[in-house]
Amino acid sequence: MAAPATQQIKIRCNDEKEFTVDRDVLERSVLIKNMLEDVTEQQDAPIPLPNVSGPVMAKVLEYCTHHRGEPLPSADTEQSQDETRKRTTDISEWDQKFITVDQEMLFEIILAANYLDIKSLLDVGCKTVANMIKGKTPEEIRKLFNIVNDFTPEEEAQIKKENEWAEDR
Amino acid sequence: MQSISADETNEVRPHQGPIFRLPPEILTEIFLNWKTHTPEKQGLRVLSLTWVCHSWRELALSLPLLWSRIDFKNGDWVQHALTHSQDVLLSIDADIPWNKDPLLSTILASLSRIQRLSLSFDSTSSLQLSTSDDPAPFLEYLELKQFDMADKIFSGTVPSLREVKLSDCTFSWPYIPISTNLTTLSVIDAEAGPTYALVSILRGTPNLEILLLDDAFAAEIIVECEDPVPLLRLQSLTVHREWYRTTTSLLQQISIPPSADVSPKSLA
Repeated sequence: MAAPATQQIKIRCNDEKEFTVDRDVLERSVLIKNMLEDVTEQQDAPIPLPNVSGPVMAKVLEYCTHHRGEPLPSADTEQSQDETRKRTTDISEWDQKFITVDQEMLFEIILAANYLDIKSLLDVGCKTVANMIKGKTPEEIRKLFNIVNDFTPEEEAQIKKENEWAEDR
Repeated sequence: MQSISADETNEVRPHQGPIFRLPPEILTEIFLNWKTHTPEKQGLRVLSLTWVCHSWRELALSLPLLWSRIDFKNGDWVQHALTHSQDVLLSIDADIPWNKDPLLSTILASLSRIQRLSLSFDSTSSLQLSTSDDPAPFLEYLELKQFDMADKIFSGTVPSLREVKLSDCTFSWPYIPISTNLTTLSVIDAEAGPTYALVSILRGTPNLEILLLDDAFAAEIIVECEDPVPLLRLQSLTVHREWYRTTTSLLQQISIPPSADVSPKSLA
Protein backbone atom coordinates (compact mmCIF):
# COMPACT_ATOMS: atom_id res chain seq x y z
CA MET A 1 0.00 0.00 0.00
CA ALA A 2 1.36 3.42 -0.89
CA ALA A 3 2.25 5.76 1.96
CA PRO A 4 -0.12 8.71 2.34
CA ALA A 5 1.10 11.75 0.41
CA THR A 6 2.83 14.33 2.58
CA GLN A 7 1.25 17.75 2.43
CA GLN A 8 3.45 20.29 0.72
CA ILE A 9 3.56 23.89 1.88
CA LYS A 10 4.85 26.93 0.04
CA ILE A 11 6.79 29.66 1.76
CA ARG A 12 8.07 32.98 0.40
CA CYS A 13 11.16 34.73 1.78
CA ASN A 14 11.87 38.47 1.91
CA ASP A 15 13.81 38.29 -1.38
CA GLU A 16 10.82 36.65 -3.12
CA LYS A 17 12.56 33.29 -3.13
CA GLU A 18 9.97 30.55 -2.74
CA PHE A 19 10.31 27.03 -1.37
CA THR A 20 7.85 24.14 -1.45
CA VAL A 21 8.48 21.94 1.56
CA ASP A 22 6.95 18.91 3.30
CA ARG A 23 4.70 20.05 6.12
CA ASP A 24 6.47 17.96 8.79
CA VAL A 25 9.80 19.57 7.88
CA LEU A 26 8.35 23.07 8.13
CA GLU A 27 6.69 22.24 11.42
CA ARG A 28 10.10 22.16 13.10
CA SER A 29 9.35 25.89 13.22
CA VAL A 30 6.84 26.53 15.99
CA LEU A 31 5.93 29.83 14.30
CA ILE A 32 4.96 28.10 11.04
CA LYS A 33 3.35 25.15 12.87
CA ASN A 34 1.06 27.55 14.72
CA MET A 35 0.27 29.42 11.50
CA LEU A 36 -0.67 26.18 9.77
CA GLU A 37 -2.84 25.09 12.67
CA ASP A 38 -4.69 28.40 12.55
CA VAL A 39 -5.57 27.93 8.88
CA THR A 40 -8.54 25.60 8.48
CA GLU A 41 -8.79 25.56 4.70
CA GLN A 42 -6.02 24.59 2.36
CA GLN A 43 -4.30 27.67 1.02
CA ASP A 44 -2.35 27.90 -2.19
CA ALA A 45 -0.79 31.26 -1.42
CA PRO A 46 2.76 30.95 -0.03
CA ILE A 47 3.34 31.79 3.64
CA PRO A 48 5.29 35.05 3.72
CA LEU A 49 8.41 35.08 5.90
CA PRO A 50 9.46 38.74 5.80
CA ASN A 51 12.41 38.34 8.20
CA VAL A 52 14.27 35.56 6.40
CA SER A 53 16.17 35.64 3.11
CA GLY A 54 16.30 32.79 0.61
CA PRO A 55 19.90 31.67 1.24
CA VAL A 56 19.35 31.65 5.01
CA MET A 57 16.04 29.78 4.64
CA ALA A 58 17.80 27.19 2.49
CA LYS A 59 20.21 26.53 5.36
CA VAL A 60 17.39 26.44 7.90
CA LEU A 61 15.49 23.93 5.75
CA GLU A 62 18.60 21.77 5.49
CA TYR A 63 18.62 21.64 9.30
CA CYS A 64 14.89 20.97 9.56
CA THR A 65 15.04 18.20 6.99
CA HIS A 66 17.88 16.48 8.82
CA HIS A 67 16.05 16.68 12.15
CA ARG A 68 12.53 15.93 10.84
CA GLY A 69 10.59 13.55 13.05
CA GLU A 70 12.52 14.37 16.22
CA PRO A 71 10.35 15.42 19.18
CA LEU A 72 9.91 19.15 19.66
CA PRO A 73 10.58 20.58 23.13
CA SER A 74 7.28 21.16 24.91
CA ALA A 75 6.38 24.57 26.29
CA ASP A 76 6.47 23.12 29.83
CA THR A 77 9.97 21.77 29.38
CA GLU A 78 11.18 25.07 28.04
CA GLN A 79 9.69 27.02 30.89
CA SER A 80 11.00 24.73 33.60
CA GLN A 81 14.44 24.82 32.04
CA ASP A 82 14.48 28.55 31.63
CA GLU A 83 16.54 29.64 34.61
CA THR A 84 17.81 26.48 36.21
CA ARG A 85 18.35 24.13 33.31
CA LYS A 86 21.66 22.46 32.91
CA ARG A 87 23.15 23.73 29.72
CA THR A 88 25.28 21.22 27.93
CA THR A 89 28.20 22.14 25.76
CA ASP A 90 27.89 19.32 23.27
CA ILE A 91 26.88 19.82 19.65
CA SER A 92 26.38 16.74 17.47
CA GLU A 93 28.85 16.08 14.70
CA TRP A 94 26.29 16.76 11.98
CA ASP A 95 25.19 20.01 13.61
CA GLN A 96 28.81 21.11 13.95
CA LYS A 97 29.42 20.60 10.25
CA PHE A 98 26.12 22.27 9.41
CA ILE A 99 26.93 25.38 11.45
CA THR A 100 30.46 25.75 10.10
CA VAL A 101 29.64 28.86 8.07
CA ASP A 102 30.96 32.40 7.92
CA GLN A 103 30.02 34.80 10.71
CA GLU A 104 27.47 36.67 8.60
CA MET A 105 25.56 33.46 7.87
CA LEU A 106 25.97 32.18 11.44
CA PHE A 107 24.25 35.22 12.94
CA GLU A 108 21.58 35.19 10.20
CA ILE A 109 20.81 31.55 11.03
CA ILE A 110 20.57 32.40 14.73
CA LEU A 111 18.21 35.29 14.01
CA ALA A 112 16.11 33.13 11.68
CA ALA A 113 15.92 30.32 14.29
CA ASN A 114 14.79 32.88 16.83
CA TYR A 115 12.16 34.38 14.50
CA LEU A 116 10.90 31.00 13.30
CA ASP A 117 11.02 29.64 16.86
CA ILE A 118 13.22 26.61 16.20
CA LYS A 119 14.64 26.11 19.67
CA SER A 120 17.13 23.35 18.88
CA LEU A 121 18.68 25.35 16.03
CA LEU A 122 18.88 28.44 18.21
CA ASP A 123 20.69 26.33 20.83
CA VAL A 124 23.21 25.09 18.28
CA GLY A 125 23.87 28.67 17.17
CA CYS A 126 24.28 30.01 20.71
CA LYS A 127 26.56 27.16 21.73
CA THR A 128 28.68 27.74 18.63
CA VAL A 129 29.17 31.42 19.43
CA ALA A 130 29.89 30.54 23.08
CA ASN A 131 32.56 28.11 21.85
CA MET A 132 34.08 30.87 19.73
CA ILE A 133 34.38 33.14 22.79
CA LYS A 134 35.74 30.41 25.06
CA GLY A 135 39.26 30.99 26.33
CA LYS A 136 39.67 34.31 24.53
CA THR A 137 40.79 37.60 26.03
CA PRO A 138 38.53 40.66 25.67
CA GLU A 139 40.85 42.00 22.96
CA GLU A 140 40.69 38.72 21.05
CA ILE A 141 36.88 38.74 21.30
CA ARG A 142 36.76 42.31 19.96
CA LYS A 143 38.96 41.34 17.05
CA LEU A 144 36.96 38.18 16.32
CA PHE A 145 33.60 39.94 16.14
CA ASN A 146 34.75 43.38 15.01
CA ILE A 147 33.66 45.05 18.24
CA VAL A 148 34.83 48.53 19.11
CA ASN A 149 36.09 49.29 22.62
CA ASP A 150 33.61 52.03 23.54
CA PHE A 151 33.99 52.22 27.31
CA THR A 152 33.49 55.53 29.07
CA PRO A 153 36.44 56.86 31.12
CA GLU A 154 34.55 55.85 34.30
CA GLU A 155 34.15 52.32 33.03
CA GLU A 156 37.81 52.19 32.03
CA ALA A 157 38.77 53.19 35.58
CA GLN A 158 36.53 50.49 37.06
CA ILE A 159 37.91 47.87 34.68
CA LYS A 160 41.43 48.80 35.72
CA LYS A 161 40.42 48.09 39.33
CA GLU A 162 38.88 44.78 38.34
CA ASN A 163 42.13 43.85 36.61
CA GLU A 164 43.83 44.25 39.96
CA TRP A 165 41.45 41.70 41.50
CA ALA A 166 42.66 39.19 38.97
CA GLU A 167 46.25 39.88 39.97
CA ASP A 168 45.50 39.44 43.70
CA ARG A 169 45.81 35.69 43.64
CA MET B 1 12.06 35.64 22.21
CA GLN B 2 10.28 37.12 19.20
CA SER B 3 9.45 40.48 20.62
CA ILE B 4 12.43 42.25 19.09
CA SER B 5 11.50 43.84 15.81
CA ALA B 6 13.48 43.39 12.65
CA ASP B 7 14.40 47.05 12.70
CA GLU B 8 15.98 46.69 16.11
CA THR B 9 17.83 43.49 15.37
CA ASN B 10 19.10 44.29 11.91
CA GLU B 11 20.47 47.71 12.59
CA VAL B 12 24.22 47.38 12.88
CA ARG B 13 26.31 50.42 13.48
CA PRO B 14 28.93 50.75 10.73
CA HIS B 15 31.90 50.02 12.97
CA GLN B 16 30.42 46.90 14.51
CA GLY B 17 30.27 43.31 13.35
CA PRO B 18 27.14 41.25 12.71
CA ILE B 19 27.07 39.98 16.30
CA PHE B 20 25.42 43.31 17.15
CA ARG B 21 22.34 42.21 15.24
CA LEU B 22 21.59 39.74 17.99
CA PRO B 23 18.99 40.93 20.48
CA PRO B 24 19.93 40.86 24.19
CA GLU B 25 17.87 37.70 24.78
CA ILE B 26 20.07 35.73 22.41
CA LEU B 27 23.29 37.27 23.68
CA THR B 28 22.12 36.25 27.15
CA GLU B 29 21.82 32.62 26.00
CA ILE B 30 25.31 32.85 24.51
CA PHE B 31 26.75 34.22 27.74
CA LEU B 32 25.08 31.51 29.83
CA ASN B 33 26.33 28.84 27.45
CA TRP B 34 29.78 30.39 27.69
CA LYS B 35 29.57 30.02 31.47
CA THR B 36 28.92 26.30 31.04
CA HIS B 37 32.12 26.06 29.00
CA THR B 38 34.17 27.79 31.68
CA PRO B 39 36.03 25.31 33.88
CA GLU B 40 35.15 25.06 37.55
CA LYS B 41 37.31 27.26 39.77
CA GLN B 42 37.63 29.90 37.06
CA GLY B 43 34.60 32.00 37.92
CA LEU B 44 36.71 35.14 37.69
CA ARG B 45 36.78 34.69 33.92
CA VAL B 46 33.27 36.10 33.80
CA LEU B 47 34.91 39.49 34.17
CA SER B 48 36.38 39.12 30.69
CA LEU B 49 32.87 39.37 29.22
CA THR B 50 32.42 42.70 30.96
CA TRP B 51 35.70 44.01 29.55
CA VAL B 52 34.74 43.70 25.86
CA CYS B 53 32.53 46.72 25.26
CA HIS B 54 29.93 48.89 26.94
CA SER B 55 26.85 46.93 25.86
CA TRP B 56 28.33 43.54 26.75
CA ARG B 57 29.34 44.91 30.14
CA GLU B 58 25.86 46.22 30.83
CA LEU B 59 24.26 42.95 29.79
CA ALA B 60 26.70 40.70 31.70
CA LEU B 61 26.31 42.73 34.88
CA SER B 62 22.54 42.37 34.63
CA LEU B 63 22.58 38.54 34.47
CA PRO B 64 22.61 37.09 38.00
CA LEU B 65 23.26 33.53 36.79
CA LEU B 66 26.60 34.61 35.36
CA TRP B 67 27.79 35.57 38.82
CA SER B 68 26.62 32.54 40.78
CA ARG B 69 30.00 30.81 40.87
CA ILE B 70 32.37 32.47 43.30
CA ASP B 71 35.76 30.90 43.55
CA PHE B 72 38.30 33.51 44.41
CA LYS B 73 39.94 34.98 47.47
CA ASN B 74 39.81 38.68 46.68
CA GLY B 75 37.20 40.37 48.85
CA ASP B 76 36.25 43.04 46.31
CA TRP B 77 35.62 40.38 43.69
CA VAL B 78 33.51 38.32 46.08
CA GLN B 79 31.44 41.36 46.99
CA HIS B 80 31.08 42.25 43.30
CA ALA B 81 29.87 38.73 42.46
CA LEU B 82 27.53 38.58 45.46
CA THR B 83 25.95 41.87 44.42
CA HIS B 84 25.46 40.96 40.76
CA SER B 85 24.25 37.43 41.50
CA GLN B 86 21.25 39.09 43.20
CA ASP B 87 19.17 36.23 44.63
CA VAL B 88 20.25 33.19 42.61
CA LEU B 89 21.74 30.12 44.32
CA LEU B 90 25.48 30.28 44.80
CA SER B 91 28.39 27.93 44.43
CA ILE B 92 31.31 29.20 46.49
CA ASP B 93 34.81 27.79 46.39
CA ALA B 94 37.16 30.13 48.21
CA ASP B 95 40.63 30.07 49.62
CA ILE B 96 40.58 32.26 52.68
CA PRO B 97 43.95 33.87 53.38
CA TRP B 98 44.82 33.98 57.07
CA ASN B 99 44.32 37.74 57.24
CA LYS B 100 40.95 37.85 55.49
CA ASP B 101 38.43 36.68 58.05
CA PRO B 102 36.02 39.49 56.95
CA LEU B 103 35.83 37.72 53.59
CA LEU B 104 34.46 34.69 55.38
CA SER B 105 31.87 36.83 57.14
CA THR B 106 30.88 38.31 53.77
CA ILE B 107 30.40 34.84 52.34
CA LEU B 108 28.48 33.50 55.33
CA ALA B 109 26.15 36.50 55.19
CA SER B 110 24.76 34.91 52.01
CA LEU B 111 24.30 31.49 53.60
CA SER B 112 20.59 31.48 52.87
CA ARG B 113 21.27 31.09 49.14
CA ILE B 114 24.46 29.05 49.07
CA GLN B 115 24.06 25.65 47.41
CA ARG B 116 27.69 24.51 47.37
CA LEU B 117 30.27 25.77 49.82
CA SER B 118 33.92 24.81 49.72
CA LEU B 119 36.26 26.78 51.97
CA SER B 120 39.93 26.34 52.53
CA PHE B 121 42.15 28.32 54.83
CA ASP B 122 45.66 29.37 54.01
CA SER B 123 47.95 26.43 54.71
CA THR B 124 50.20 28.37 57.05
CA SER B 125 47.55 29.46 59.45
CA SER B 126 44.30 28.14 60.72
CA LEU B 127 41.64 30.56 61.86
CA GLN B 128 38.65 29.80 63.97
CA LEU B 129 35.63 29.53 61.77
CA SER B 130 32.96 32.11 62.33
CA THR B 131 29.63 30.54 63.03
CA SER B 132 26.26 31.45 61.63
CA ASP B 133 22.82 31.20 63.15
CA ASP B 134 21.13 31.57 59.78
CA PRO B 135 19.43 28.60 58.18
CA ALA B 136 21.01 27.26 55.01
CA PRO B 137 17.93 25.88 53.26
CA PHE B 138 19.64 25.22 49.92
CA LEU B 139 23.05 24.03 51.09
CA GLU B 140 23.71 20.65 49.46
CA TYR B 141 27.48 20.37 49.57
CA LEU B 142 29.90 21.46 52.28
CA GLU B 143 33.66 21.03 52.09
CA LEU B 144 36.04 22.52 54.64
CA LYS B 145 39.80 22.34 54.77
CA GLN B 146 42.04 23.40 57.63
CA PHE B 147 39.36 24.91 59.79
CA ASP B 148 39.35 25.22 63.52
CA MET B 149 35.77 24.91 64.74
CA ALA B 150 35.14 25.90 68.30
CA ASP B 151 31.42 25.40 67.99
CA LYS B 152 28.77 24.27 65.55
CA ILE B 153 29.44 25.77 62.12
CA PHE B 154 25.79 26.42 61.43
CA SER B 155 23.28 26.64 64.18
CA GLY B 156 20.44 26.96 61.69
CA THR B 157 18.91 24.11 59.76
CA VAL B 158 20.50 22.52 56.71
CA PRO B 159 17.64 20.37 55.34
CA SER B 160 19.12 19.87 51.86
CA LEU B 161 22.63 18.93 52.94
CA ARG B 162 23.78 15.79 51.10
CA GLU B 163 27.57 15.83 51.21
CA VAL B 164 29.98 16.86 53.97
CA LYS B 165 33.73 16.63 53.44
CA LEU B 166 36.12 17.77 56.15
CA SER B 167 39.87 17.49 55.98
CA ASP B 168 42.56 18.69 58.33
CA CYS B 169 39.98 20.38 60.53
CA THR B 170 39.82 20.68 64.29
CA PHE B 171 36.36 20.03 65.66
CA SER B 172 34.21 17.73 67.73
CA TRP B 173 31.71 15.39 66.10
CA PRO B 174 28.60 17.24 67.35
CA TYR B 175 29.73 20.37 65.48
CA ILE B 176 29.17 18.72 62.09
CA PRO B 177 26.03 19.96 60.37
CA ILE B 178 23.88 17.05 59.30
CA SER B 179 20.49 16.43 57.75
CA THR B 180 18.42 13.34 57.22
CA ASN B 181 19.25 13.73 53.51
CA LEU B 182 22.99 13.35 54.08
CA THR B 183 24.40 10.70 51.73
CA THR B 184 28.16 11.28 52.02
CA LEU B 185 30.35 11.98 55.04
CA SER B 186 34.10 12.14 54.61
CA VAL B 187 36.42 13.06 57.46
CA ILE B 188 40.19 13.09 57.02
CA ASP B 189 42.82 14.13 59.54
CA ALA B 190 40.45 15.38 62.17
CA GLU B 191 40.91 13.57 65.49
CA ALA B 192 37.40 14.71 66.21
CA GLY B 193 36.61 12.57 69.24
CA PRO B 194 35.61 9.02 70.10
CA THR B 195 33.43 6.74 68.02
CA TYR B 196 30.36 6.98 70.23
CA ALA B 197 30.17 10.74 69.50
CA LEU B 198 30.22 10.07 65.76
CA VAL B 199 27.67 7.28 66.12
CA SER B 200 25.46 9.66 68.00
CA ILE B 201 25.24 11.99 65.00
CA LEU B 202 24.89 9.07 62.59
CA ARG B 203 21.54 8.38 64.23
CA GLY B 204 20.33 11.44 62.31
CA THR B 205 21.60 10.27 58.91
CA PRO B 206 19.44 7.30 57.87
CA ASN B 207 20.19 7.87 54.18
CA LEU B 208 23.98 7.78 54.47
CA GLU B 209 25.53 5.93 51.53
CA ILE B 210 29.24 6.72 51.79
CA LEU B 211 31.24 7.01 55.01
CA LEU B 212 34.97 7.68 54.80
CA LEU B 213 37.02 8.00 57.97
CA ASP B 214 40.76 8.52 57.75
CA ASP B 215 42.54 9.39 60.96
CA ALA B 216 39.23 10.85 62.07
CA PHE B 217 39.04 9.77 65.70
CA ALA B 218 40.74 10.95 68.84
CA ALA B 219 41.58 8.50 71.64
CA GLU B 220 38.85 5.95 72.10
CA ILE B 221 36.67 6.03 75.15
CA ILE B 222 34.90 2.75 75.60
CA VAL B 223 31.22 3.10 76.32
CA GLU B 224 28.62 0.44 76.64
CA CYS B 225 27.13 -0.25 73.23
CA GLU B 226 23.48 0.63 72.86
CA ASP B 227 21.44 -0.63 69.93
CA PRO B 228 23.59 -0.34 66.80
CA VAL B 229 22.65 2.56 64.53
CA PRO B 230 21.06 1.18 61.35
CA LEU B 231 22.71 2.60 58.23
CA LEU B 232 20.62 0.56 55.85
CA ARG B 233 21.55 2.52 52.72
CA LEU B 234 25.28 2.43 53.29
CA GLN B 235 27.11 1.38 50.14
CA SER B 236 30.68 2.14 51.10
CA LEU B 237 32.53 2.25 54.42
CA THR B 238 36.21 3.16 54.32
CA VAL B 239 38.32 3.29 57.45
CA HIS B 240 41.99 4.24 57.21
CA ARG B 241 44.69 4.96 59.77
CA GLU B 242 42.57 4.19 62.81
CA TRP B 243 43.46 2.15 65.85
CA TYR B 244 42.17 -1.41 65.74
CA ARG B 245 40.28 -0.81 68.95
CA THR B 246 38.62 2.27 67.51
CA THR B 247 37.58 0.50 64.32
CA THR B 248 36.18 -2.45 66.26
CA SER B 249 34.26 -0.11 68.49
CA LEU B 250 32.76 1.71 65.49
CA LEU B 251 31.69 -1.51 63.80
CA GLN B 252 29.99 -2.66 66.98
CA GLN B 253 27.91 0.51 67.09
CA ILE B 254 26.59 0.56 63.52
CA SER B 255 24.57 -1.89 61.49
CA ILE B 256 25.31 -1.91 57.77
CA PRO B 257 23.90 -4.01 54.91
CA PRO B 258 25.96 -7.07 53.88
CA SER B 259 26.20 -5.65 50.37
CA ALA B 260 28.12 -2.57 51.55
CA ASP B 261 31.66 -2.27 50.22
CA VAL B 262 33.91 -2.20 53.26
CA SER B 263 37.53 -1.12 53.03
CA PRO B 264 39.90 -2.43 54.09
CA LYS B 265 38.30 -5.77 53.39
CA SER B 266 39.60 -7.17 56.66
CA LEU B 267 36.94 -5.14 58.45
CA ALA B 268 34.09 -6.90 56.71
